[in-house]
Amino acid sequence: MLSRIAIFFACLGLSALLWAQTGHPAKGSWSGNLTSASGQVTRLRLLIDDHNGELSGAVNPGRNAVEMSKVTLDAATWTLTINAKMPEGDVVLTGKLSNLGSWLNRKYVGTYKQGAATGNFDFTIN
Amino acid sequence: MKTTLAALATLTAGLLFSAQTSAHHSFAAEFDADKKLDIAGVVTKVEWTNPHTYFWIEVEGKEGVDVWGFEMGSPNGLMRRGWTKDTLAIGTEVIVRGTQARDGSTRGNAQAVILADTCTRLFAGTSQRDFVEDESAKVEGCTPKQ
Repeated sequence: MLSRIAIFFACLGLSALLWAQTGHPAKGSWSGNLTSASGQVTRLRLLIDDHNGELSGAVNPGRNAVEMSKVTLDAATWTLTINAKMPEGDVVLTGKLSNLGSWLNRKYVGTYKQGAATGNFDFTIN
Repeated sequence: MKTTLAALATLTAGLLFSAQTSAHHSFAAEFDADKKLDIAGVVTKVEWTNPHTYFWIEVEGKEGVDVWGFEMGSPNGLMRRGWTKDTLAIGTEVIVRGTQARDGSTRGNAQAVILADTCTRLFAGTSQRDFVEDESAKVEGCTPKQ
């Protein structure tokens, strides 16, 4: 009897923690910078959603949002690739997700290519 | 047996409510009513939590981007004022009017949130006791962007 009651209370206590799970590690609002090889810094925001494993999203969500044309994740290496047709030219972001268990410091870091331009990017989950 | 049960119940109640009690505080303890804020930015995150709803905006400054976090009323209080969970979508451009944290950090208590596209003013359910809402139809200092 006592053990059943103890398990009941333990489940109640843990339920609050379970609510904090978000699901897909790429899902969410991200902010960061693209830094070109010449040192030019461009601020970007990403909004990524997950529909049963199918990823989609927008670059700079809001009035001037650009839909991501393709979002793929290689879960073996946590490599996330995002394609988007930006007004300045098609951009491809290729980088790795890290700190996957972190609520506030999940990172998406890698390199980008936009036309002939290349550079690095560094995003953090908001 | 009774003592053990009582201890378990007390421990569980403490676990469940500790987060909420730590987040509940008086306005004056955390915010300075004399430090007025009128700040524009883009919404990057919204948390509909009790006892307060929070949102964060990115503000472009001279030396880069600052992230400001704002406290509003409870989810129930905001919904009774017409808010929905889609009112502040990620990427929405807003002007926030309120007061800054006493410690001078980039945190504040929002009195009103103005949607920059339409200059629609939404009252944020501030916990500032002597705050009087400006209910005039015209929103000063805002020109619709759409």
